[in-house]
Amino acid sequence: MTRRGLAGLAVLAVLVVVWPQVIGSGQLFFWDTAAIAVLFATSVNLLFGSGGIPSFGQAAFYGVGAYTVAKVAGHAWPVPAALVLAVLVGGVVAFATSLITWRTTGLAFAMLTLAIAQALYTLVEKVNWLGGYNGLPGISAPSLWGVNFFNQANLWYLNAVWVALGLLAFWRIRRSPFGHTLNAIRQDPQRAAFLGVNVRAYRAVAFTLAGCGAGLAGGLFAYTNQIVSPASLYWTESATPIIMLLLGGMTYFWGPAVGAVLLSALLNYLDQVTTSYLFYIGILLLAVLLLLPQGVLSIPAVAQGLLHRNRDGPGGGGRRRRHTLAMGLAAEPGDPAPAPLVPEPTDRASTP
Amino acid sequence: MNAPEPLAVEVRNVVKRFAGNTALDDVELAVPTGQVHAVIGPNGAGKSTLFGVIAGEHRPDRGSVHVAGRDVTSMSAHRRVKAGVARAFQVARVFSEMTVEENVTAAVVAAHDTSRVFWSGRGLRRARQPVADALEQMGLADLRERQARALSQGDRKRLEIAMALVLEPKLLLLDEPTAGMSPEETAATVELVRELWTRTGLTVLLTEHDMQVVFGLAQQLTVLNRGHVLCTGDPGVVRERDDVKEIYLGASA
Repeated sequence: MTRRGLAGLAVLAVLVVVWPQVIGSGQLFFWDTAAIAVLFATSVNLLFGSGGIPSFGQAAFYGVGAYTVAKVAGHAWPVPAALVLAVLVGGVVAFATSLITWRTTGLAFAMLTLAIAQALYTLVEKVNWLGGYNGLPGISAPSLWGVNFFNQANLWYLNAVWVALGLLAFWRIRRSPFGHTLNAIRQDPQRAAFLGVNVRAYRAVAFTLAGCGAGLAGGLFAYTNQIVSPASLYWTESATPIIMLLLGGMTYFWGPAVGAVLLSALLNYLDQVTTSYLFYIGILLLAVLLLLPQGVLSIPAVAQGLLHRNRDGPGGGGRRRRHTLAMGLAAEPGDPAPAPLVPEPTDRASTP
Repeated sequence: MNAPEPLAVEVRNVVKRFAGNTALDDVELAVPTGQVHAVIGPNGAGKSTLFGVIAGEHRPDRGSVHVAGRDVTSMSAHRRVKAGVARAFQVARVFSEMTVEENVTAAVVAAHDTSRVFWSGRGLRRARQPVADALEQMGLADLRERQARALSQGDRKRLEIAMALVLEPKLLLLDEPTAGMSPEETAATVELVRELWTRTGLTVLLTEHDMQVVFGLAQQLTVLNRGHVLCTGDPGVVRERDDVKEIYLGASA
């Protein structure tokens, strides 16, 4: 990691530590949910940003993680054990889903994940053991090493530590040979297969890992919200992290995180001033997708591109990869577009 | 080796139909280990289909494919790579959003079987030297940081060959390696393949339209016409055959 990156992380760590004093405990619930959204959106971006795997059913694994913690919290399981179980259950359910969707890609895959998640939502709503329509109330994190999580600041630190662990895991995955291969698969799955890569298996592993991350986020949400309901598995819960990663920029590791904080803050604000907040979110998303297809994190690159009249267009700056949601939804390419006979100018070459 | 050298690739009685059209009709092909073998024929003769059948892109409707003595007919493409088949496409296919270096890295980690490792970055670090070597070997070292989409067609093809070579194949399939290249690039590629072959003794199976390339490289030729094997033999002999002259002259006249 670069020195600047480390400095940024240090600033972030300090902010996290002093945040309860800065913000006051009344506002901490909002920041808890924002931190959880950061982790959830980052996990979903392993699919969209790295693998080009368009899942519209990640709420299933988020919800399953939340219910896992809700059930074992009733038996006073210690927090780390409960959260590890949420990770495992999220991963197992995701793996099962990846087996069902094994042969599908693109839009068919997206619809299948959506259908599976909605089926689980309906199932959870009907099962009395899981509280049915009303869900499971009264969840709390039991004290750990004398730390009491009824204290809002302590709950914030609990969330912060586990979100940080989750982000670290996804950072590691992105910078691993597997992450590199996933990038290759996104760009040309057939080409990757002719390097000896079992594309379906790699997609299944990515799906499982993303499910683990969603399970952890859901588990944290259960402790934070103190009640879980079937709404956690509803399809809108799958859409939210996708909006976040589009907003922040899915080609960046921190894109979904930035998008998560922005969208959470915006929803929180709009909720106070208007009832038609979805309208404004829609307008915002439209504007970002049209003007900044690589998300708000691409603003510096876009600005630089405009300054240098970069013919490569917005988001083409530097070594940044360009791809959009539509790529993942397109069916498997049989043949790629023919290569241009005249080579495109590189970014560097067109910069005076 | 005391056992007789197995054939690098053997295609037995392969039939492949697409929607009623017979692309390959009872095709036989045997390439001994270490040979540079060219498959030629007019457009639509079935050359690309034959390559697809060998590489695992198409399953034959009948017949079998053997690589280094192993029956690979029912193997998927990625398992055939592990069995020793590497290929370059007619229109070079590389990962266009990656740099040249990253493209070769993807091939190296796949070859090392570290590509499945998601918990550590060691595999990427261990790939650095092999990647540098491969780029050096293919004359791509200067383009290391270039985005693959910004490469010329010739460089793109060389990148693809570099990616195929790091897989350490027993059989290298080159589908029209010089298509879309300038005369200079073509000459360089011919030189490259020849040099590669002299150094590694790799078995190469190629298709090519450019007869100069074919006669400059191939030790044996197989002529395909409308899905049939017309003949196989030494370039000098094949060139003089009347039926070969006829399909080529007939096609161009």
